[in-house]
Amino acid sequence: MAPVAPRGMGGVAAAERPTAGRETVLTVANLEKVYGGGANSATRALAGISFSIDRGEYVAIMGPSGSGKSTLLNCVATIDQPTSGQVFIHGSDVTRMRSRELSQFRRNELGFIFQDANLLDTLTCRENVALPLTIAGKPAREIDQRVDGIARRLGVADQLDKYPYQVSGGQRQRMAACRAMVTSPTLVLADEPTGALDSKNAKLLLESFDTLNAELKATILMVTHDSFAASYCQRVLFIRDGRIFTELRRGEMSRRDFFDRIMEVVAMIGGEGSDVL
Amino acid sequence: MFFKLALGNVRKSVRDYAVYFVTLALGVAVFYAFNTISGQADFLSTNASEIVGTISSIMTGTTVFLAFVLGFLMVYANNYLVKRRKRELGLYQVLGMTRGQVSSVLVLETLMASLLAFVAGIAIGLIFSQLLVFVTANFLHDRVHDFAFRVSPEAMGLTLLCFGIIFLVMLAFNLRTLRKVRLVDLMGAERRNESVRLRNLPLNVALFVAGVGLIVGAYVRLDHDGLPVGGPATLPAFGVTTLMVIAGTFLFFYSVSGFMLRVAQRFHGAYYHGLNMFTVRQLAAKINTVSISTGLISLILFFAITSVTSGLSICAMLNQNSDAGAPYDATFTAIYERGDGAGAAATHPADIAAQLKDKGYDLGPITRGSFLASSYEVSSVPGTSSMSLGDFLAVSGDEVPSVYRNRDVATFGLFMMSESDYNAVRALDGLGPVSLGSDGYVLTTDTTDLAKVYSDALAKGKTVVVNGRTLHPLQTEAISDASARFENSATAATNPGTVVVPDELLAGCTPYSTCLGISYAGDTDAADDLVRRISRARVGDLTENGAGVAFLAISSTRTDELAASLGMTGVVSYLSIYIGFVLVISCAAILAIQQLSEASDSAQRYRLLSEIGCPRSLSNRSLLVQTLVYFLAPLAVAVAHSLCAMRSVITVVRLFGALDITGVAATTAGMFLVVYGAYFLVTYSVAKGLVNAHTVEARS
Ligand SMILES: Nc1ncnc2c1ncn2[C@@H]1O[C@H](COP(=O)(O)OP(=O)(O)OP(=O)(O)O)[C@@H](O)[C@H]1O
Ligand SMILES: [Mg+2]
Repeated sequence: MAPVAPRGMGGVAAAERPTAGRETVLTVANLEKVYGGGANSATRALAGISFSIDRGEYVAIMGPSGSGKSTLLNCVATIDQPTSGQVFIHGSDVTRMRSRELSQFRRNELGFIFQDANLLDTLTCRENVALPLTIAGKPAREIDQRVDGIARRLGVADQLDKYPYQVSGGQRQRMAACRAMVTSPTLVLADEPTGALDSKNAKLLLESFDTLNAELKATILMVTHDSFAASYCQRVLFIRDGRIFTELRRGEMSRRDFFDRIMEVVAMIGGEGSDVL
Repeated sequence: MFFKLALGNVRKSVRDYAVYFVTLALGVAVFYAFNTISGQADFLSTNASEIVGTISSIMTGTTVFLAFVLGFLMVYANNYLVKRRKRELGLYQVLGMTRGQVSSVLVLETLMASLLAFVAGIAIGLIFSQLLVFVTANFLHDRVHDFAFRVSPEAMGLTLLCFGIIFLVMLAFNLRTLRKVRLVDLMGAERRNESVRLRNLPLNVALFVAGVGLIVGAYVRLDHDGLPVGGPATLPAFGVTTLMVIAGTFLFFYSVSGFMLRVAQRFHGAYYHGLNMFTVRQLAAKINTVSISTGLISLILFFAITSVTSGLSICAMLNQNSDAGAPYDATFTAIYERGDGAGAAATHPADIAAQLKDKGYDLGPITRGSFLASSYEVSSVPGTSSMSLGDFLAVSGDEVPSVYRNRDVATFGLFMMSESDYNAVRALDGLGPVSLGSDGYVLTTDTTDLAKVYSDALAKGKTVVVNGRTLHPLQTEAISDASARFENSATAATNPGTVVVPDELLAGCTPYSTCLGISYAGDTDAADDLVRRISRARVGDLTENGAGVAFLAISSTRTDELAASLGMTGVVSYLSIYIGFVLVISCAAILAIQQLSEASDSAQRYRLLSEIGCPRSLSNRSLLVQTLVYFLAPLAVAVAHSLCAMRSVITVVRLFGALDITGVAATTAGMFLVVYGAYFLVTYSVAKGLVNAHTVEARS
């Protein structure tokens, strides 16, 4: 196992690290989720899904509506409890953790970005971004530095002192990304982050993710309907009926080619998504 | 079909309706019981005491006031309910119901819940009023028989009428709410953020300073002017003070949140610690939107605290005074016609006993001992000066007691009494005689505040001039034992200052009044009976040489005085505690509703906090702090107002006699805190449940 990269805003240090060593950040093993107790009414949202993600990977999950994408993400995010199977993050099985450990785990290891930015409306953007750090008990000086640093990277530094309803939807979503990234989490989870954005703002957000992934080696797992959004990733997992249907790796492909490949698979699965672009 | 839908809705949202239901039921119960009491208090009118008039006017005012308070409470509670259910009501419209149909569902629902609550309220009210009768009986030492419990149809009718009106007003508000919002808003009710109003900082600070300034200014004014007991002329100044404190309170609550936010942000390290930032922002956003109602709650609490404390202190004083206030078995007081009146001027005191005997009421058989003592005004004794309160103040160097501050102390004259009359009073009290010699005097009073002024002046050798003769004080203190009272009155002071002078100085002058005091020989009941008969007969004129010179104004037995005092003690304590509790419960209920509504509005925020890894203990603590501040802020301001106001109230109450208010204040504070604290605890635990039900932990 490769040495663990120093945490914090060590973008430069991480970039200098040799890329040969691979470190698995997330492993999902035989994950199953059944909704509803009744025999007839039960929905098998996840049917024993397995995959793993390495440090620094940028992965998209696609699939038709109702295929279990959100359910998967929620289980990984420890927001939902799977029926069976395991989720290992950084080597620990989160399905076994108790609620007190879980909140600490979420605070330290995970970052979330939701479809609607979900910022607290009573706080300014700066305070929203700072919130995970204050909860973690970081000193005020460090909080200021980190917040400014991440906001500059995502191009919203000049919007920090506004309230969420005073900035645009795209900026709001990037603020949410700032909040997810500010703790330098092991894994960033995003559920349709571009869903509520127009194509220009979606592009801006995706480029931000790209930057974070490239410069900070942030590991990102993103659920999306949008083939264009998925084409920014290095790998796309296709889900159908609660199982991995197939997966695509970008490799050395150009984004344009990768996008075409994704479109092919989407058409084959028969999901929507093809109509997004 | 609407009926079924409405019924189903009430059943479904029992939890939402519970708040409304309990509040309404409580309101009805309290209102019913209160109105029963005001009906039962009628028996007081037999007593001619001045305070009775005050009490009944206070009660009328209070009834109106309470109706408004309860109306506000109902509209508020119901508005909370409608707000909670905006989404559902929006859904009906999306599903194709017309706005009118949705409205009728809403009206039906509210009507059903209200009727149920009304019935429950009346039931509670009946039990409540019965329970209170026991308390009252205890107060009155079983003296007042009119206080027997009864079901009061009038009170029930009045309650129904009031709540009917309140219900209609409430409906109007609801329908307006429903009409005002657009469908898209209805559907988004859960999502829509109450936009945080931004205010500019200098303005906020200026408003805050202005608010605090107004409050402090009002405190200073009140402390200086006292309560407006000096007559109508002092009312405008008091009105200004009142307006200042009201405006100041509203300004304070309007600006305090913004101000505190800025202050908190100055402490950067603490602000960026744990959830402090979130807590402060939540409070700021919330107090912003409810600043008016918080101000109102604070003022109502203030009113509650002062009315209860003044009521209870009046009672403490009454109990203390009732024995000392009625030292004689019976007294009769005659007031003389003025010289310019229809009758002739009397040249010597009327013999009340002899005149009564002429009219067929022979006091002889019931009298063991008696005195006949006359008081003279300065104006009716020639060559008299240096006898006003102002003269005594000039010598004593004391400040004008605040109650007399609004009167003209220079014309506030003392009375005079002859040495032998006074010694007769002392003899009946079982006290030894005083001996004045040719140029000595002593001074008596039963008014505590004035006794101090007089004593200070006497100690400095204050002289008075009566009938051209200069008199010197024989004692360095004013006499305020039983001999300072010439007539029974268990509820008020009767002697603002009487100078006892050698007999010859008053000879041939027309008295102001003459008191006959007797101690009974034999059976008290029979004797009381005779005196009451004289009272009822309205004997009227006392004559001399065929001309009316005086009229018999008051006759009073100790038995009746004590009963009146007890009755009054009971009613005053009863009313004040009662009003106080209604108000405190109303305020606490409003705060509870606001807090619960806020908690469910904020549930999404707490969910987000839990999603980004905030431990439950941390967010619960934030909720606790918010609830605590929310309950404490209006209380703290109310207590500050009350402490200031009570100084003035105590000054007025002390007119009646000496007063120790610590015990009363502690008891009142304790009772209020228990009620208020109970509401706080319930609110916190329900809010905690509401919020935590949405967090991530609750899902897994
Ligand atoms: N709380 C729930 N209770 C019962 N069934 C649920 C619940 N949440 C999701 N499901 C079901 O599980 C299945 C997967 O849902 P999920 O939300 O994961 O789909 P998705 O892939 O995210 O779809 P979409 O692209 O539309 O968001 C669906 O059939 C859904 O109906
Ligand atoms: Mg989904």
